[in-house]
Amino acid sequence: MKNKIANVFAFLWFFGVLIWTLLFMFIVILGILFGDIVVMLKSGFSSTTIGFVFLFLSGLVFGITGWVPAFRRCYYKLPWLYPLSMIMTMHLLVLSIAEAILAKGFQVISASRHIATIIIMILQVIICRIVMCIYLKKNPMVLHKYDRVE
Amino acid sequence: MKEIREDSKRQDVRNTPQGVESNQYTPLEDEREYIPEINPQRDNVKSKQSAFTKRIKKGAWVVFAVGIISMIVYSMGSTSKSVDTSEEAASALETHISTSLAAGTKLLASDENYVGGDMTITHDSDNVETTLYVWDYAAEDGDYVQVFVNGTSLGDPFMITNTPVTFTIPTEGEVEVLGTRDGGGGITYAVYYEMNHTTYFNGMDENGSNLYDLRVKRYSSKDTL
Repeated sequence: MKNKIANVFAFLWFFGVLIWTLLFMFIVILGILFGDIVVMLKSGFSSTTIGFVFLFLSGLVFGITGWVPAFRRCYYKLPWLYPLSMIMTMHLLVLSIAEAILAKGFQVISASRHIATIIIMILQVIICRIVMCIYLKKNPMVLHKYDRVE
Repeated sequence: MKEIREDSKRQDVRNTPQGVESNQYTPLEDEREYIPEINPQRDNVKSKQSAFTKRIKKGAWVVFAVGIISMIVYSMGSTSKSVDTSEEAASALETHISTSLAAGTKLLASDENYVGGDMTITHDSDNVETTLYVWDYAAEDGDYVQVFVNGTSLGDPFMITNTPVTFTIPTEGEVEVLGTRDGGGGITYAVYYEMNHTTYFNGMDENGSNLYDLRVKRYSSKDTL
């Protein structure tokens, strides 16, 4: 009975919260890249940033999913879900920092400041991606469900 | 069901010669973590948690910490303010001048295409220089302005937010605020002069400008007697 109730909560959390968070995360990542960063680079003007706010919300959702035993059942059922959540969070973090740097730098219309901002942003993306590569090399997300041994 | 977990830091079965500890064939495999069966009772026992479960829990803390830090960084960098709904603010919206509201007061949630005009400001300050505060008194929608004093630019065009930007200017002369870019709904901005403690809520279209003629009130000898 207890197990069934936990399954119901796991189902509700997955279809009511987690799947939407992942979907919005995907949209936000595309939005930051094409709606904010590219637009700012083309126009030369700053815009409002959304990355950090969504990073907070997704961090809250993924945190609760990992802490509550019933909610993290989705990670056992769908082994690709945990790596996807983590890697999308990393992508969002890298893009959010880039977006914030660009928005801050483009608040003043100055060619030299714009160039410096773009260089800093590119360096930040490269460094963050290298750190991400090192982390994932040390902690690879190789999770095979089909290899369970009887 | 018996589960095995392999970890590079633990026992590496690939390096164990066959026949030394076991006569069973051990296949060559990459590093793997095995997903445990869903068993709520097992989750309650920390020592029996699988490597995968431990990793999920550790990841949850990391992601949550990243989220909290992001929110702190966002809050620290945020310049947006809440709209002042006091009577003084309502009065300032009609007169576009206030001597009581502080610099950085936000009067509107969105821009209302207000186009103001030039002003002559006569004051009795003895100081040679004063501080000028410039900010967006409506939505932070990406309006850009540039400030000139007696025809000389005080810097590059900048985006106005709800948090004031300060300039040191002379108490006598002409201050021009040029609207460089309209983020939508007209360029709404306010200027606060420390010399007379007055805020002027003004506005203009893109490429428009407002001129503030600052004059010092000179008292004659008759006035002082």
